[in-house]
Amino acid sequence: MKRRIKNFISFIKKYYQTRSIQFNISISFTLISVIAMIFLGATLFYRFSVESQNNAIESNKQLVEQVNLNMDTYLKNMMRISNSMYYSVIKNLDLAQVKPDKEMSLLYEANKDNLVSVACFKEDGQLVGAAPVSTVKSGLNVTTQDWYIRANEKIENIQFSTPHVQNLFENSNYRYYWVVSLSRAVELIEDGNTSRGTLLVDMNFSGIEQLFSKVNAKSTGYIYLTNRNGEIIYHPRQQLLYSHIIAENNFSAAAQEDGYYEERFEGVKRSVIVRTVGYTGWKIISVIPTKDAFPNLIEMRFFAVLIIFLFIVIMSFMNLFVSKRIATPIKKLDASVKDLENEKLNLDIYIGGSYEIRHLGKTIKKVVEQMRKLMDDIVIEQEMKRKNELDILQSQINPHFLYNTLDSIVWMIESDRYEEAMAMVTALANLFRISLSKGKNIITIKDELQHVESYLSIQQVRYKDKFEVAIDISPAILECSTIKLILQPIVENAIYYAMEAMIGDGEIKINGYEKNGDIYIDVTDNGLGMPAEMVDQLLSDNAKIKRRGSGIGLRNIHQRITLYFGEEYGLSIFSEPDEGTTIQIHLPKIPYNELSNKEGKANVEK
Amino acid sequence: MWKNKPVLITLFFGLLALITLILYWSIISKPEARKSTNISVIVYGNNPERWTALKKGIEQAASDMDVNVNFLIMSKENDPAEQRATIERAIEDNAKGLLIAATDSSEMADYIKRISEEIPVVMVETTALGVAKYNYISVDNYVMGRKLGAAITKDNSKDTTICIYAPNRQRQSVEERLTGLSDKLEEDGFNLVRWEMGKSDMNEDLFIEAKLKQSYLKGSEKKIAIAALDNNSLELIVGKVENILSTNEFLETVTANPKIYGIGNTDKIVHYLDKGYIEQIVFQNEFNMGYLGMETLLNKMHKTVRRPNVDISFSIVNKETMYLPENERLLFPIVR
Repeated sequence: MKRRIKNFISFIKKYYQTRSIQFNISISFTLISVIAMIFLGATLFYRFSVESQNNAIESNKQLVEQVNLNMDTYLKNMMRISNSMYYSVIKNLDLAQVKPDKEMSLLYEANKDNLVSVACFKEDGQLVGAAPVSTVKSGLNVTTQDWYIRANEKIENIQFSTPHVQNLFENSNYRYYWVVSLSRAVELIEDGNTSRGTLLVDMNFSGIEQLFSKVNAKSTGYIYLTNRNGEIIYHPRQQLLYSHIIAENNFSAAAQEDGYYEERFEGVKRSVIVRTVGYTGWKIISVIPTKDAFPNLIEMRFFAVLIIFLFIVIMSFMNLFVSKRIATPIKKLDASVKDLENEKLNLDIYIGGSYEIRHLGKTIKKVVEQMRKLMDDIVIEQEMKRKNELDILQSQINPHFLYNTLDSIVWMIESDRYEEAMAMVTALANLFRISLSKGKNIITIKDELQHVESYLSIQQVRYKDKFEVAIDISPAILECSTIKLILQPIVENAIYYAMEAMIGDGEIKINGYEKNGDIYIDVTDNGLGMPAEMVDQLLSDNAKIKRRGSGIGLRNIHQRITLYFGEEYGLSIFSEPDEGTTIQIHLPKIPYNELSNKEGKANVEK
Repeated sequence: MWKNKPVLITLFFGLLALITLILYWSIISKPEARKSTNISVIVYGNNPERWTALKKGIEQAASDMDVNVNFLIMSKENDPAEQRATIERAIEDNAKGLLIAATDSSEMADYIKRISEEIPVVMVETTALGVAKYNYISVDNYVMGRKLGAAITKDNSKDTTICIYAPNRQRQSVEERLTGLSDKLEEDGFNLVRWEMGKSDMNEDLFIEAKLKQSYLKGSEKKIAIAALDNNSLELIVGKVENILSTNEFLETVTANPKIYGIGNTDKIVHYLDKGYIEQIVFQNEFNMGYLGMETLLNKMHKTVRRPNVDISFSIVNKETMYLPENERLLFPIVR
């Protein structure tokens, strides 16, 4: 179980970590709101229910007191009737001479709303007098009736019975009355002799019933009445009790002292108030089932749940709004940082939202700016590095070329061809002049062409006009920029690879022209040409072509062009075996002035 | 989530409006309109006093369960057509459930089966043939008949002829009581005579009078006891006997007061018992019958769990035992 809980908690944590901040804020706030509302609702509801129960109990206590007062008055009234009958009538009459019927009738008439009958019996059960005037049922022995026995058992007290059907007098209207009998032993005077008799006042049970019915209509729960032993005298559902359809905890309640207590009866929790009625020992018992203390409990619960639900809905939407307000600046900042991840350093970093987020944004922006500066520095550094590499590549030319030319001059001097040697030295001087170009990497195409011409004049001396050269350069491109010493090595390659192997006259064509805004210079020979595989290898890094001549590989020229002008420029080789080869130089068309200025500045910075 | 902003806002205000409406409704609505369930109780016979206890039980249930009850009796003792018309009227008057004591178990059977499909019906006291046991609240009439038989056989010697007057045998309850009584008397070896009106007997009063005069002719050595199996016939028998006994001319011809037994508990019957005109009565707890009948009907209407089948109890009392607390509580239900 513990492990399961741990797993669950870790699952929740992971889940939270994968969700957006807006979601987390929204869900967390909503959860807290829901818990708070439920707690608050439950507390208030509990408080309310306790308060309602207390109110119901308090109200019923007052009702019980009122019933007690009414019962007290009612019973005193009945006892007063009994006393009047005894002390004012029976005790003053000699029954041998005067019957008490008249006085009894007067008293009965005055109180007949609450009385069924008043009767007096001798010790042997013989009727002395009764009101209203009636005949005792034939064969009836009153001395066996409960009220008679009780009155004669405790002669000093007035006895109250439980409700019963009066079984005394003949009647012809089929009516039977439920009565509560108030009986007492009395002294009868007959011919001056005293004897014991029994006075019976039968109170109409409906009097008690009405008294309780009125109170029950007002009370929460119900109020009933028992005698001191717990036998029911009045109950609002008396007939159901008599029919055993329902049950009541009357014996247990009647055994309790006066006051308030709680009980559980037939699975129902109830509050019970007990109050003893004076003289009789009867018990007024108020029962408030807990559910009756809240007559609208279901409605109240429904109402409470609805209110809580309403607040939860409002809170949820407010939380959504608040979380959006909080999360949006963070999300925007996050998006900016995501752009940074994609190396978009030129984007603006979002600065907005609360103070902390603004501060964070500003800090990130500062960091980005620093990064950007660092990147620029790195780019400049790279540029410089590239330039250095270029310089190194360029420097590779000189030893090869110089060796070859000097070799030719030596050969001429050895052959006493001083004039030619001088011309070659002059041409060599021109070559070096252009090679140096005051340290510039970029020269005009015109200069580059002059450089090639100087070179060719040297080579033509060496090869004794074994090949012919045709140069056709568009005048429009003569003043455009080129990297120096790119044409000469190509021509050199053409001479070494193509012309040397030629049996007949070799031919080298140099065409310069402009196409689609770029400059193209084609060096075409009519040599042996190359197979396609060789062409493919010539410009690759792992070229293993055996080098000859000046030793400047086409790859070096290609690299120099691409390093300086970009990947889209460089050399292209078109060759067919036995047909010849064309090396095409592709350069951007940039006027020399424009590029030389820029390069001048770079040199100054350097 | 906020991509569906209009939907969310609509949902929010929709929910808010719904909750506000429910709150408003729950605040203003009052429970006074609750007492709208109308139940009609249609019983047989034209004697309202005969149904006092049943009616009290029904009224108690109506008060406990918050329903309106319309109690209807017939203008004649036994008229199935009238009872059918009364039921029709009750349904037209918007009764939501019916509690019926059938005047004729056989004649009413098809009709009650048909209306049971339209409206919840529970039978009390007397059922219609074919109605399921759980829709019928009654005592075990056969056992009650046997109990009466046992009281008669205990009180009388075997040479007593037991005359049984049971005119309302069209009612299942009476028929079952008669079977129970006859079975018990025959088992105990008593001689039975059934007073049954023939087609030539046009008047019930005259028929009873004739039967009584025949039974009590002077010089007859026969001892007889009379048993009546429902309220009306018991009241009729006692009334007639008292009438005959009070007639001087007839008094001389009578050998002895006849012993009368019966089933019933109208005020008149109880009074006759108290006066000693009836030896013993068996009576069913009709208060319970009314209360439980209503409870069963409401359970059926609301399809709620019903109280497990409760058999209605019955008691047997004589003049001496009728005032015992347990008996007087049932014989004289407390009037509210």
